[in-house]
Amino acid sequence: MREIKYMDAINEAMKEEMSRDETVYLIGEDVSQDIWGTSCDLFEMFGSERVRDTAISEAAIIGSAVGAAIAGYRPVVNTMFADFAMCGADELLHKAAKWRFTHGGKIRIPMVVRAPAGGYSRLGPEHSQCPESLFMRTPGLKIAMPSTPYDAKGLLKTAIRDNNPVIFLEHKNLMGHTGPVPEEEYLVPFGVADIKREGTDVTVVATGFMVSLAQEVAEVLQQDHDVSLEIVDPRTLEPLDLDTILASVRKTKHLVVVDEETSRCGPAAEIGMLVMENAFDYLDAPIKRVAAANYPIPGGYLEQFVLPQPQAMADAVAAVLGREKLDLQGKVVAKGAM
Amino acid sequence: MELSKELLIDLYTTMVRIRRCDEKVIECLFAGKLITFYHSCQGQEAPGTALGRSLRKDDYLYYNHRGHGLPKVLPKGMSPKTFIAEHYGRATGAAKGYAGFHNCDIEIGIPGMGGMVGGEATLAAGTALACKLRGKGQVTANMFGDGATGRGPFHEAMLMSATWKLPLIWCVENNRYQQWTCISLTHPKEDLADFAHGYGIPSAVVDGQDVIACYEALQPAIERARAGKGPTLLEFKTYRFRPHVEGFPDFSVQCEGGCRPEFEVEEWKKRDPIKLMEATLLEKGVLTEADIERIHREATEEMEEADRFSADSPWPDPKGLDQALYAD
Ligand SMILES: Cc1ncc(C[n+]2csc(CCOP(=O)(O)OP(=O)(O)O)c2C)c(N)n1
Ligand SMILES: [Mg+2]
Repeated sequence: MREIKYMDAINEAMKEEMSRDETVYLIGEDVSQDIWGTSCDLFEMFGSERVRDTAISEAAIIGSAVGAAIAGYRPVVNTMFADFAMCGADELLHKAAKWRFTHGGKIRIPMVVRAPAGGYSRLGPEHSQCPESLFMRTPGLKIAMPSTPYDAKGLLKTAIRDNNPVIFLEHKNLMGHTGPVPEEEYLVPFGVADIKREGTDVTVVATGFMVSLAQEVAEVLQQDHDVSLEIVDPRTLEPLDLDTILASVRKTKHLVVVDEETSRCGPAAEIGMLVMENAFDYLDAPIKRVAAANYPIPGGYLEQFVLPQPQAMADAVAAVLGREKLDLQGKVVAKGAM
Repeated sequence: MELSKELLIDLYTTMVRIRRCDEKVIECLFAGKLITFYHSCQGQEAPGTALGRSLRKDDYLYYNHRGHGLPKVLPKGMSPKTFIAEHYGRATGAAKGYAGFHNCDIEIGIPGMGGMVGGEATLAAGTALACKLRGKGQVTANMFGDGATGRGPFHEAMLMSATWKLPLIWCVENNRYQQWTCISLTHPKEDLADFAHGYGIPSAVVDGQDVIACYEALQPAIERARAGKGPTLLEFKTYRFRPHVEGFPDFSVQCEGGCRPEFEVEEWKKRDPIKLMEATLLEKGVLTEADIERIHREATEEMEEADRFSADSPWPDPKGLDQALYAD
């Protein structure tokens, strides 16, 4: 199968869906360019009516998308940095998420907010967040977090066709990653987890960039320490495929949940609790989570002390297995996009 | 308005120091010494210089990302040492290395910067309210780019400041671009000073390449604020000489030719604020060629010293994270 970059997979999904359905349009600041490289030829192909560069007006970008979606369009917003979506918090967390419900389910809000997320580029607290917990605690939103080019394309196409608001957390650090993507059209359904690596000793649930780090960690643990990780990537946090997670936990009897979000009230807290409620009897050891420490993400040098690091994943694996330290010897490094 | 010889030299010297500092930061960025990215302010030295040199030490100044505040914070009194050290991510930096590009020195009225364009506007309104309530004649200034006027909070803060007659000087540096998008695509009018009409406050369009014009325009606005008569909106027409962010080309599929038109950049470069001021001062006989050469040399030395200071400074200690998070 051909291999393409994550950013190009996103571009293909945009192109295919914009060609297929004229109600789909892209809106945001400098979306005709996109600093993360996903736009390429979109402006050339679809012009300024459907690739809409705006003023720095996040509230109006997201709010207008809600309004257009109510009136039958399928807007795709790109917020450039996930952090900037907070400038349209009322529009996103109230209007997009709640208006259908508020009005007795009489309207549909088919829109996508693409939010390039993630840290490790030392850009400080307002350019580094991976804010999935903010969206997870907001019923009414769906949340996709692709970790591979294949998933990025398939999930984005599904997101655009979904009749609900979808937060699409594309990860900045994955943009240049390559992976197999078929030439033929395909969709990746929501609510179906993917086992990114089969293993026997510990289940690691991870999303987004954490999947690729966990895969590298798994490789070293296998080679150097003979520990076998099974990596489960939920791909969407809402809907969440709990069954696949539980099946893996029943098999390995150990669980580590990894996410890039702040530890307190993050996805790991939720997933860990769901496993407690549904598979406690299968666990041989308490669940461990690896997530960002409970601080804003500092810029610069201090970032590494707050964002989750590969060795912390290995430490968590060691802890659930009751093993001495499993040293990665610095073989896995979390690297940012910039 | 007749500006004193000392003031003219000071304005010129300040602009030269900003330029040298900006060049130094770019040099360090490409040498791999910077901890984050950089948005050069070359070409936009004049408005911030005039503002910073016009304010009292106990006045407040909110700035934006252009040069990560350099053309505003240096004139307000921040040392290039702490400025560069922050960009190096060192403990001696203007945010103790916690941000990498958000500089803060509350002792000289610099409360800091956020990551959201235009995010300072509402804070500026509150700081101006505090100035008014305290009654010591302090004022607050907020200098930001044309792009920030797209944000709702900017307009909310303008409305609040106008209604409550807050001692606030709104200063927009209109360089016609927000990142790669031209203002002609985002705003119905080029003159952003016109926003003032709706809020019923005075405004002016100022030549942002002419530091004397900038200084002269600021004085009545600051006096008005100090006298409790309310805010003013000043629009400085200016231009950035370098790309939006270093290391990225200045591309735009929306511009003919795929980037900012070359002739536009060249036209504006003819109006380099430092060169313009230099010509004025030579003509007035305020400075000689030898003075100018010395000012440039001293600025270069100052920035080299700041670079050495930064490189020799320690990394911030992660043990400080808790103390940074909550006050006692
Ligand atoms: C709320 C928000 N949206 C978008 C950005 C990304 N961004 C950073 S600088 C910039 C352009 C700002 O333009 P302007 O305010 O005119 O200042 P200039 O860069 O021209 O000096 C943009 C879009 C941001 N930092 N914050
Ligand atoms: Mg601008």
